[in-house]
Amino acid sequence: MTKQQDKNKISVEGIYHDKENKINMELSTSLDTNIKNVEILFKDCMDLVKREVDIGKEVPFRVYGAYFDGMVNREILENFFLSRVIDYKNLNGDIFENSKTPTQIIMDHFSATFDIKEVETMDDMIKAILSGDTGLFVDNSKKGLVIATRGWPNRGVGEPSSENVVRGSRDGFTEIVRFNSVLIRRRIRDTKLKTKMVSFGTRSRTDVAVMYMEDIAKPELVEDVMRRLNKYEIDAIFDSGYIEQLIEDSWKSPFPQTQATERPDKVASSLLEGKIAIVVDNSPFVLIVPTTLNAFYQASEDYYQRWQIMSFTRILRYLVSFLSFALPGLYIATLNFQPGMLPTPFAISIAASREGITFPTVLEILIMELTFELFREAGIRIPGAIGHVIGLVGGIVIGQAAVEARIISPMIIIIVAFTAISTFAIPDYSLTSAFRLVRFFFILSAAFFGLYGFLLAMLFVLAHLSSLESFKVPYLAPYNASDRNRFRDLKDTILRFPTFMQVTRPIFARENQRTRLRLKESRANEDMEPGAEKMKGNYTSNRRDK
Amino acid sequence: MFSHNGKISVRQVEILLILQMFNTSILLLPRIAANHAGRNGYMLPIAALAFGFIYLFCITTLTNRFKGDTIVEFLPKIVAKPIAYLVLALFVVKIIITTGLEIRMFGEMVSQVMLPKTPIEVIILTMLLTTAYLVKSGIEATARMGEILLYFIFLPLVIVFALIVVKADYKQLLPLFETDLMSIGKGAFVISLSFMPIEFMLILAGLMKKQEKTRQAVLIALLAIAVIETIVVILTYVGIGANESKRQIWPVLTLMQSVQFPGSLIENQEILMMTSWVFSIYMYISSGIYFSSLMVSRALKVRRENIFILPVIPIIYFVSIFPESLIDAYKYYMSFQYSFGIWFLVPIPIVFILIAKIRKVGNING
Repeated sequence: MTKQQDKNKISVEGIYHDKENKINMELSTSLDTNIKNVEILFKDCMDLVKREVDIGKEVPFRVYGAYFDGMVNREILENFFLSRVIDYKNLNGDIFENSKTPTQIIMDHFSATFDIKEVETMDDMIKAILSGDTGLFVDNSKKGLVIATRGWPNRGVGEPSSENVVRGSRDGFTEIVRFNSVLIRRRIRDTKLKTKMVSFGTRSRTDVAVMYMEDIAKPELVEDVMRRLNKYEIDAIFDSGYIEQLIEDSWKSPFPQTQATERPDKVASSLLEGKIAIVVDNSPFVLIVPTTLNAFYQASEDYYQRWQIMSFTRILRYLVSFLSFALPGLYIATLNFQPGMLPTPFAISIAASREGITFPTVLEILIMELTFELFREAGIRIPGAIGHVIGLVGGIVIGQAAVEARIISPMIIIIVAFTAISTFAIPDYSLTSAFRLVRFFFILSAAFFGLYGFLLAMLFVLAHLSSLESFKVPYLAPYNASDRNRFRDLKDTILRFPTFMQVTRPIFARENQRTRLRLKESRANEDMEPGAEKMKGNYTSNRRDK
Repeated sequence: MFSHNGKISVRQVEILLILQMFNTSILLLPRIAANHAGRNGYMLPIAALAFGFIYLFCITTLTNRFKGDTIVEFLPKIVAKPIAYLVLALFVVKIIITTGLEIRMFGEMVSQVMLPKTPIEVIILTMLLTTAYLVKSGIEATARMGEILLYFIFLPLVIVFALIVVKADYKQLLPLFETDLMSIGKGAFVISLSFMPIEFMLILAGLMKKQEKTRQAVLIALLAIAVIETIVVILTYVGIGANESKRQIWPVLTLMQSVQFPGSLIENQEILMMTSWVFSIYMYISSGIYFSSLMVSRALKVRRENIFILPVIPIIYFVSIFPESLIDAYKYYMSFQYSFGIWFLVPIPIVFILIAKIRKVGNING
């Protein structure tokens, strides 16, 4: 007997599992063979609950069930399945005499739950059991049954910790892919919201849901996302961050090319713009593709509050994000190379404050920036209660004491602190991280070539951003390529135009699906502006002449 | 969806052309204008448009005959290959020399205003390498960069110009019309050489998505740059005077120095204004490097079009350090423009149009 034919031999890789770690085996009609295989596959898995029962009274009708303890919702299993099995056991067996297959009999007569389905391969069976469903092997049947009983401990839907808002919904994504897709679906009650499920990772078999609006997202984009997802074979995916880095356009860039968010409303609005959401099990961060630099400056709240204040906030965000990477470099450039640019009294006061300091400005800035990065890193790792103390200690000791000890000048403290606060005003964490890194590039080029070096660094970064794309969309759109959508996308950039003016979807959407807002057909003659009727002082005669 | 076909939109071509024409020559412009037409120099850019239209007509007539082709593809269709490649080689050499002299002038300017102690070689080389980083990503990235830089270049200029407009002495422009037609004509021709980057259309036209709009693109770019030039000349005259413009090498820089920012937030703001020029020169040089390397790689039928970018850089570098001094560089730059600037704008296109017509090649309706 060859090795392959010897089914009893225990060797997980090779006989039972193929290269992709899938179980290469059909279900057997013999329950005993199936039981034997399951026993072999789950050898030494003490958390597996398995049991064989005979549920027929007159005719023998054996089934074998298996599930993982703690991963199933026992209430569903017991109330809607097992209790009915016991009820039926005491009935007469007319049900066995018709032409139905054994699995269909169970589905029709023993199950009080909708979510029960037949599967044909051992791989599907085992995968279901590993995911928290209950697998049921039936004697004399080539098919097995999977009862959806998933239910494991989870932290529930909480507030998104990294994207807080004053006004707006407070539910954030959680670690369970199904909860997350529900949070999205609750916001878009449309049959055209599609969810494609793929499984990623040969060992982790992580569920990944790709969600998109069928008629708004471009089909080639959906295809592209699926193609990129299917490119790699990896052992495990523990967070959407893995997928982000495997599907992005340029691995060399420090800039994020997908948007990760904890907010379901952000995902829902992105889907309606024609973007695609990738929801990954075990990750509270949902990826949105394609993304542009502009998207990182758009917070959900921008659309819930008045446009004036939010436009002002946007301008502020752009300004401080520029300062967040440029300010230290600019300071070095002006102070070391172009002090003439500063107003004389100011230059003198800076010079006075630097008196007695031995380090060159560059070193001062680098030391302080690195110290701040250290605080940030330490602040994350240190347990909550002590974390605040570190901030205090850092602020007072390093700040005040270092200035008094003449190690660094007070101007540096102001600059580093301002830069640090600026980074937190950007709504997206991964963009902030990119700017943190780019900042050092600016510091060094300004240190070497002054303002000219600063400008070169600026050109370098802009050139990089111009060449960058996210799923074939220019990263700097709509600041470039804005003519593609007749400049309409510029209404939601540095300025957030009033809601009634945001009538079109951005370039991500299909061309025939670009309208987002319009007047109802019956009132198409009226003014688009809200309150226009009132301005005319007459609610009835407000129709414009054609 | 955005396709990667190495094609750019009409708007991108317009912006690229505007930025290429908005190069060092703008800084010299008021001086050249004043030399030719005195205080009426502001008329010259508008008069130069007449020459501009001729250039436009010659070049687009030629490119419209060969839709989808750059000069590298259509020249061999018109004349025998050796001649075609000889002309192409001359074009490449011309672009390289112009770019080299341009970057030398730029380096001198940076050296004068920003980095007096840094060797000019370092300034030139860092700029060239930064440019190479952009153009290696191809024409689409370059075009997008142009769109972005437009904001960075013109926004500060508008602010400064607005300050000058308020404080200027408009009597400087009077009396009107005191120049004779001959010198206006001559001056207009010299100014029209600042439209020289139109010759890049010989390549750019083949990289456009909607080639039927070549003419429109060039026309808009020409009108825009003529208006900008007129504004620059007028503001320089009313800001520092026509006579002072004659004496300065970079009259526009002197103009910038004369501006006083309200609240004296920044002093010596001309350094800040250099930003605009650094950015626009960057676009000019990137075009020089990109087009010369693209022509070489296309002529040699190399699949990777960006492969000649790095080899071109040392050549441009050596051209740029060839002049002994700023005066030399300026002299070379001007005389090169006078003697060779016009060749690829009018005579060569006309000759090839005629040959193409006689041999009936290309799209005859074009």
